[in-house]
Amino acid sequence: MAEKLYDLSTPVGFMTPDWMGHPAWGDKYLERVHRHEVPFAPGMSRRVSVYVGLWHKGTHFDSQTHHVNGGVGGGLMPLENFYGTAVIVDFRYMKKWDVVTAKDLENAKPKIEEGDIVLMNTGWHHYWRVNDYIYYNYYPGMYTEAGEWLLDKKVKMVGGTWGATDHPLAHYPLRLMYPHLYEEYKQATGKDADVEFPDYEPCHQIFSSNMIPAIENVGGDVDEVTGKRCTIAAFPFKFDTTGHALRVVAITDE
Amino acid sequence: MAEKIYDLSQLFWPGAAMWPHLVSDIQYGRDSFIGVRSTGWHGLNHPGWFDMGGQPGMSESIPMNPAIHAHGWIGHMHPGTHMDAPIYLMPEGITTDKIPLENAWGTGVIIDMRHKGKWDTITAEDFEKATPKIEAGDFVVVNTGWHEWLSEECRDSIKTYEYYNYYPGLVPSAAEWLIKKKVKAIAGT
Repeated sequence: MAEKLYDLSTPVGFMTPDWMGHPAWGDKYLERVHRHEVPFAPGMSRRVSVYVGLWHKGTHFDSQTHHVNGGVGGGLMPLENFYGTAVIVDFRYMKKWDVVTAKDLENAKPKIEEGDIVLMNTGWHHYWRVNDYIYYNYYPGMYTEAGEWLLDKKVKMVGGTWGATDHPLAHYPLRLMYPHLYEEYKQATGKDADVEFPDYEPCHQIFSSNMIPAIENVGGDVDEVTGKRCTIAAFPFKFDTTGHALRVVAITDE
Repeated sequence: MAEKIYDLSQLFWPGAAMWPHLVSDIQYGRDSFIGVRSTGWHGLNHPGWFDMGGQPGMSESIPMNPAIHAHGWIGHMHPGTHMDAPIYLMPEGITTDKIPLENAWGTGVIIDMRHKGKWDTITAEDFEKATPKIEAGDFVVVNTGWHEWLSEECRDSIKTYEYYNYYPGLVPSAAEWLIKKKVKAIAGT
């Protein structure tokens, strides 16, 4: 039986689409500060790039300190949380703005066991860099009920093929945060998102407060391991941040 | 048998000791260049990403949780425990994201070179005699003991000088030996 590795990360680069609430730094960019065109000694050159931007891009996790004052920073969270037995559950039946319920998690296959790492595949990674608007504004996502269910199940880490750990509409007051989305939801459904979703990022709060890393923008070859139980290794580099990139790797015996 | 996880990484942080580049790297010394910026600050009522970026036409203030903040970075990616990709030295080399995952995972040997002193060289012969024996396809980690100079207690102290200037290091015969052995990665303290 041979071990096989699957890459569940989306590529990060200057073209990486970004969460709509990150205007402060403008766009991220990669600047070359050494170039092969410019030798630093006869016959010797190198390329070094500088990264400018927020860390919460592409496949990354949110650390405890992202939402908890005094919380533990990114790469200083326990390594054990980033490695272990996992289930990749299939939520690809979900559609625009669907909310992941306790029932969805209860019925998930393979069954979610205590202490698992749980990755949820909504299929939304297919919109990544294909339609960024649909990717970030319409993905099926979690709200309070799902967060509490996963916490009760004592999961080690969670992740999903979505733009954020919380549902796109779960950004109270949405009418101020993302007026375009508030209006669109109202016109499409006749409902008030601030009444339907009165909690601001409840799952971020639940996972942060309980030292559960939460991975956003899972993708890559996730479809190939969906519906499987496997090992996940997704170590972050040792950096005290609010969260940063990690490589999510599924390991199976085949 | 219970699995146990060990962290072999040095901290990646704005004050990480950095390679003492003599030529052009001086222009991005970390004081003026690298820093963690927070786009939202603990203790402020309005996280900075809204203050700084703003939402067009926003007239009401947003009652945000003051604890939420996010970090960014301006700097290169070579401080702390990191890897160099082929493109670092080869114009046509691949970037880090293209490196096969298999090269970053698998059986490894952590070999003991802590008997080496200041400026000693690590040669093909050292690898030949290493215990445990280095096998084809291994991920090789060389422990020179030099990481002690970068312990938490001596962050930014003069010991970063010893760390970068005196470490025992590889010579070409050692690199060639590793290539011939078909190791999948090489790392060192």
